[in-house]
Amino acid sequence: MSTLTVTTEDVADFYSLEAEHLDRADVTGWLDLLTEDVDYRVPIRVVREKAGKPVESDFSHRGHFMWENYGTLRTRVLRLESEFAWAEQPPTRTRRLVTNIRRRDGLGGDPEHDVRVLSNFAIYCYRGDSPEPFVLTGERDDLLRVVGDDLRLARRVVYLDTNVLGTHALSIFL
Amino acid sequence: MTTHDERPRERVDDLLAHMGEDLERGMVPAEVFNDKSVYRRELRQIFGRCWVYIGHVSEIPNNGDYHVRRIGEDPFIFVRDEEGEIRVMLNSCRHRGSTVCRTDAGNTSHFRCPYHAWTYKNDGTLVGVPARPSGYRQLDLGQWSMISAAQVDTFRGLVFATLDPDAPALEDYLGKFRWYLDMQFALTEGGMEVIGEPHRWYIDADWKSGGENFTGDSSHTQMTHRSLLETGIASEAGAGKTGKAHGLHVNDCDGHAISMRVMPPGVESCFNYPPEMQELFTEGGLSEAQLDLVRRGVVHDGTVFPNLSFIHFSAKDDVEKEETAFLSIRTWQPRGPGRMEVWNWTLAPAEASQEFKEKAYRAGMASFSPSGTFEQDDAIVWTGVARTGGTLTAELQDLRFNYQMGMPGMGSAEPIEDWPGPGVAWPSNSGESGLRTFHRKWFAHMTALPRASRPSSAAAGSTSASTSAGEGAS
Ligand code: FES
Ligand SMILES: [Fe+2]
Repeated sequence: MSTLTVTTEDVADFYSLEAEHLDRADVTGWLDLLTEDVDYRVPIRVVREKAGKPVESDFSHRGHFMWENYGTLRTRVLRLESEFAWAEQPPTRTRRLVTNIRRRDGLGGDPEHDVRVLSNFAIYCYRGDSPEPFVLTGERDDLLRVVGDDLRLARRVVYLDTNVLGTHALSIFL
Repeated sequence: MTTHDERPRERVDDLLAHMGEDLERGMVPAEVFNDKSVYRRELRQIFGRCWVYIGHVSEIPNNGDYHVRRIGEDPFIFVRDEEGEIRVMLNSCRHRGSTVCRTDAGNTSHFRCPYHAWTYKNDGTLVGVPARPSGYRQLDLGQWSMISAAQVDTFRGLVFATLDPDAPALEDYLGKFRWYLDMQFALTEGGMEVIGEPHRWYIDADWKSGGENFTGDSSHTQMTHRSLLETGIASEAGAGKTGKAHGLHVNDCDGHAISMRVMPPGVESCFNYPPEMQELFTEGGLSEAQLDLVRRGVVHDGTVFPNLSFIHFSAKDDVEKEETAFLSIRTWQPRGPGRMEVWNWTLAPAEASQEFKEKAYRAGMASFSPSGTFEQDDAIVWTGVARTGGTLTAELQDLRFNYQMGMPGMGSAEPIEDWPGPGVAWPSNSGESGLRTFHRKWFAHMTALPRASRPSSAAAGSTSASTSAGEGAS
């Protein structure tokens, strides 16, 4: 596989596989989908007067809900797999819907190996015995790297729609 | 059904009637963590009277910089005006109350109301009203400035405001606890600086659960944060394992309280600040006794009553890397009975390099933030407290929670006699004395006489902004 032969269907398959790992609380399996130099960020949205063009301008440059590399993500996974990570014990039941997949070929990353993709997501999170989910929605700006016959996540910036989290804790991956 | 001419005695009155005695016995009524009548009363008696944290001076470095903040549930604009003066003004138009500023933050010289375009300078003065010649020939603009908080003042870069014109001066309100705040906010000459924008998130828990916890709930660490011990993300000293560091609790410090874990005398830890930064700590003006507690410091956490807490600590975002020092401050904003919004800021000494500030930010975010490996689990346990507080069983059985740990007759520790600082210090973290201080202060405010009603100055169109010019931030 090369960046030239990656199809939109390949990208969609990757996101489905990723969502499957996360929705089944297989966080270790999810880690395997990342490159070891992964850069993963969830910047804080700040509501300002001049909205939204480009989307990044609504977000803090320094403030993040998550600002991760492979080592820190592995550390979070290690904690989640201990018996005592109460925020995810019992685990949040999640359902991730990924849509509006848009290729941005050549715009970002190394064109030899990386495909830049924008997508929209909705994550429904059920906790305790509440029938009402917390819903997190937003846009993801990813670099997917071609590694052999597979795709791996090399960079992700998650642009949340909300500026205030309604979720008690951000104990899941987006 | 209640009759219309007699206000019914509310549940909060019943609870307060026996709470004085409860506190003597180390108990707190469960319902104070989730009851409508308690909540309404505390908005007035706590958030209408106390000094409440608004923001840090480093968040508004330039004239015109502003953020929208809260006192209780009321929205306020925290702004540096064109003269450099810090203002805290109700985010509301003097014409008919529409919201003047509908963003989180920004920079502006004026606020213009989207309803009928009344326009205010960023010091709150009304400067523009459309159709003046035809509709408002006698309107005295000077009488219609934005409403300011009754008092605004700053301590060590921390800006506070109060709605009570009769509240004591901020310096007296913080009182002797300033000795402990200095150790967090005046390590260096430049003081601390906020990094980035605050985290904000909702928890279905009462704001007091956060406030009381940070005064020194040392005994929850081993259980609530056990995942971090098991995985090695938290060090044994940091997590309060006995033998590694001493626990120190200081309570009754003018209503505020702090908990510390420090290394034994002569052993340095200094929150894992790098050596080149530790050298600067002698320039912040701290006394030898304060410096000693900083040098031996593993963690200092405390609460300025009612809802500002801090934790000075060090954490790892990667289990295979070293810990990095950071200071986190947070407010527990009431957002309804059994519900709060947490605001969290990470700080580092102003003199630190950009590289260090980034590392400190990431360490703070990784441990104390909505995604923080410590804080995620705190949020979960506090929701249970509010849930219980809201049960009918709590009311029918007059349920009290237990705050007796370390009380006379319970604890083996005695107060330290030659303690160099203010307050009552205990050489042990097997106690809940700080939590009892918190609830005693709460009880005192809840049962204090309500502010005398005074002639309504707002209705008479007084110039509150001009009042604040005299009192403004220092
Ligand atoms: S309410 Fe603001 S101008 Fe009328
Ligand atoms: Fe905790």
